[in-house]
Amino acid sequence: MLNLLLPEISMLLFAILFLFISVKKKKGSSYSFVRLISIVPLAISLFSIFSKGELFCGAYKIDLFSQLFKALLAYGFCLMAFMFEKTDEIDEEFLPEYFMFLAFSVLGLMMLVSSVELITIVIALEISSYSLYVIVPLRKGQSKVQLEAAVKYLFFGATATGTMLYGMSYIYGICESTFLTDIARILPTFLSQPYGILALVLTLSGFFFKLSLFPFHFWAPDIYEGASNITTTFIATIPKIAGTALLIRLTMSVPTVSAQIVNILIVLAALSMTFGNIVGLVQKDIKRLLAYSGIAHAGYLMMGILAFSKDGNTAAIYYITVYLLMNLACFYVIMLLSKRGENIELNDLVGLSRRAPLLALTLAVAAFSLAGIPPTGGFAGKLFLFTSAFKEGYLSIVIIGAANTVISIFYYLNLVRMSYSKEASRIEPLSLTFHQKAMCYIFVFLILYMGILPFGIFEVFRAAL
Amino acid sequence: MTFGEIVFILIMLLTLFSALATALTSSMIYALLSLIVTMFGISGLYIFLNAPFIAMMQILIYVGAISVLIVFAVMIAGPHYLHMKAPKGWTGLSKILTALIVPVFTFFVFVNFIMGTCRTDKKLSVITTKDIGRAFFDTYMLPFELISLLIVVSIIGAIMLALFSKGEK
Amino acid sequence: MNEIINIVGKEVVRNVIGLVGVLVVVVVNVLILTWVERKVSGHMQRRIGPKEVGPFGLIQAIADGIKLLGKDIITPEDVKKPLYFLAPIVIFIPVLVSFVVIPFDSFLQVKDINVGILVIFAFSSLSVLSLLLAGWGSNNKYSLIGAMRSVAQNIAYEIPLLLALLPVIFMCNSFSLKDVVEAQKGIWFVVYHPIPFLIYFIAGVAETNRTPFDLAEAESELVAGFHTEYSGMRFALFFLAEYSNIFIICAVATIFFLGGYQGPILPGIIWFFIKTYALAFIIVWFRWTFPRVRFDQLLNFSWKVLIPVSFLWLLITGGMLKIL
Repeated sequence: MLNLLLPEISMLLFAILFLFISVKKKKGSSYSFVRLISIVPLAISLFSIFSKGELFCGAYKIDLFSQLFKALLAYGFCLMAFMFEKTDEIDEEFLPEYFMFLAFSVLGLMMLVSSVELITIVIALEISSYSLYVIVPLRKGQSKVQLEAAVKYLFFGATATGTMLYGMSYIYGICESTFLTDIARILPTFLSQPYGILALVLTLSGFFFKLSLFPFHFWAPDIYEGASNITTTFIATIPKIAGTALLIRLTMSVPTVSAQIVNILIVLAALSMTFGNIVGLVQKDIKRLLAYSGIAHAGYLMMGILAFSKDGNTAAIYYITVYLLMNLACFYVIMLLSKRGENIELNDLVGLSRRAPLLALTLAVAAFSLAGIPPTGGFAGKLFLFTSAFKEGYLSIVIIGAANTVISIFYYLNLVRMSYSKEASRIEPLSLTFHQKAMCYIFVFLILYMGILPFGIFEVFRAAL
Repeated sequence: MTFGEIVFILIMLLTLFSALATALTSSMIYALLSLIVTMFGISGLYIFLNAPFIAMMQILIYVGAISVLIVFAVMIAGPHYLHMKAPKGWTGLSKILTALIVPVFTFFVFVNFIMGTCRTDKKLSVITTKDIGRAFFDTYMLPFELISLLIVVSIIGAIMLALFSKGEK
Repeated sequence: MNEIINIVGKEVVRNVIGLVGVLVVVVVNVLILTWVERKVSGHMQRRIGPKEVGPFGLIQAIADGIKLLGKDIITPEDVKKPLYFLAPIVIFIPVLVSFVVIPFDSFLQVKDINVGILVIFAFSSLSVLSLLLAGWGSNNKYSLIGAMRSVAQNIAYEIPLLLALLPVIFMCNSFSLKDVVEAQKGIWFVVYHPIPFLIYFIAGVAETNRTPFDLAEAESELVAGFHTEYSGMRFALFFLAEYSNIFIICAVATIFFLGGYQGPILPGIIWFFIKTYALAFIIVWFRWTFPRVRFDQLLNFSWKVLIPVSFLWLLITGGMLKIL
């Protein structure tokens, strides 16, 4: 039994290690070993990727799907640990706790992707959310911004959880069971009734919050702006992976679906893309911009999920993987640019190509990928999403998505234009260490790889479903 | 309509109205009192659902512990937070709307589509403490154990934030 | 008489009689306890205590009650009216509810609920709330400080109070008070669980805000704590609730650890009252024996001693039950 839980256990040990470090009276200031030990969960989850089994009376399912997502989560966590620089972002005093809460959050998400029972889902989700609520205000240089962000995140999170529980109570009322296997049996017959639709959509809304999809997007810009850069990097990427996983799990559990639900999802996806992209056009702060871009991308992602087909779900997994990489790349550039942990404005990018060509290149590749321009991973992902929705005959959303892609190109390319513009008055070259350069190259390589050779990975994801 | 049904409806109305009052009143302390009444109403509903243990736990936890903690926090925060006057007239309306949308929508859904179709006259059996214990350590063991992790996370987080805000001064 | 019973239904008549009985017990108990308290206190201080009204001053309490009833009810000007009025009423609810489930004898119980002990503790949490309301509504700093102290104290001591009872509940597999008493036919549970009994009793004294844990109404610091601003019958309600709470705490201790109404020769109800009042006597005794604790001592004692010890005992009990 324990060998099935290896990834979770490794993550838990990671958290406990930092719990002990945080209790220590005299705290060290160097945490470069975080990078080394963050590889361990990744290695273990890759090692146990083919394990299979059910635990705890069927509440916990370990299959390729969950293990794949665990590996993705561990991968994102590992990349984040490598991205982490000892800048003035987090108070050194709280660094061990910071890592501990990150690890707890990943642990919660790992449990989330494996759980196939509603109460377990809620509690695993809450473990991850609580850890995030706590680390949002941890930012050096006390100001009201991050406290406001933390409070907002907490309140919106609580509201979303409440909504989700409300939906789950309906599901329980219909199915008289909290296990997804039973729900998959009973719920489809109710899906043409408003009762069932309400139940399913409200339940999904908890994950809409994680993905910052339209009606639950309010938190994203403020929290992205208020939290420190590294925290934002985490919030913007890793919980979204698990959110996608659960959306797929829940929608997979209802094999046949009614047109009403698809319509609701189409409307949400369309609103989300349009809103995110249009508001994104006028943003000055890059983190806010990325927040709105995240809202728009949640809309794109829904296209895969609302297709309710194997291809659609695979496309969604593929897209969230690419999204992880391109967002991490963007945030890495932001983190390297902001020496004192401040937020980066669009204007700060001016002359980046001369100050640090590699950073400009990374940002350009990431922005191209976000905009969905070939040959980047974003293009391949979007292509899969659009074709899967098109195959199922949802033409309207495909058209809206395409139009939105065109809108979004404007502000993504604006990032590139700014960083490559020559009118820089102050040029202080930004020297990168070997490690930072290597990270940049890795991001560029991965994004391009996922764009040029997508099918191998796509097939792997497909096999997991 | 039997005596039990009348009591049930009364409890339901009490719960609903006190919940509304919680959302609508501008005074924190009255909001809290209405919240407590709501909790009592909910525990009454649990008794109707033949779950006396959960009803008592509802009172013990929500009234005895959580509400008291909220009152405590309100008192520490000081009197100027107590009366948050609505800035403009329409916010009251919007509050009503927010508080009504979900229940009214649900009610509508219920009345129109559900009542006719899937009503069962299933007799509820009394849920004993033993059943709950069995469920905790059998079917729902994983969530039950995960809650302890959740509590650990929130306790450490609360302590850390307390230390964090202490450093602020 | 039978006709009336037939018309209204047996259950209703039984409940009405039960409620009236409960009210009588509440009032009589307060009369007895105040008399006992004053007499015992007097003798402990080498005084005589009340002696003028009636033989041994027995009617003194009744005279005081009538005096309180006759008093003008003063409402201070700046109180927050609804809260101020609500508090004395709210504090009285848990008392009534708790008496409903207490088995005075094998046949003398208004209602045997299968979660009896939880009813008592769930509703007794209301009294904390009412202290808060009183303290806040009075708009008086002494009242407020008293209320705050009592809340911190109550939260801290409610946990060991419940935890100390859990080993007993483990052993008899029921929350019903009657089952607990019936399970003590042979040996009282105090023999098996001496330490939970002590913990329960200490926590119970703290719950009732009695010396040495009477920080909430410390006369020398806070005038009278949360009920400073109350007079007349409103004060009398607090007074009633306070003494009834002492009775309830002692009664629960009797039921859980001292065999309830079980005892030889004498009828059960007599045994029950003997045991309960013996415990009440000890509580009065405490008052003249121990000095008032400091606030940090109070909280530390609960969180660092009582709670860990009761958890440990719970663990041991669980283990023993599994092995035996």
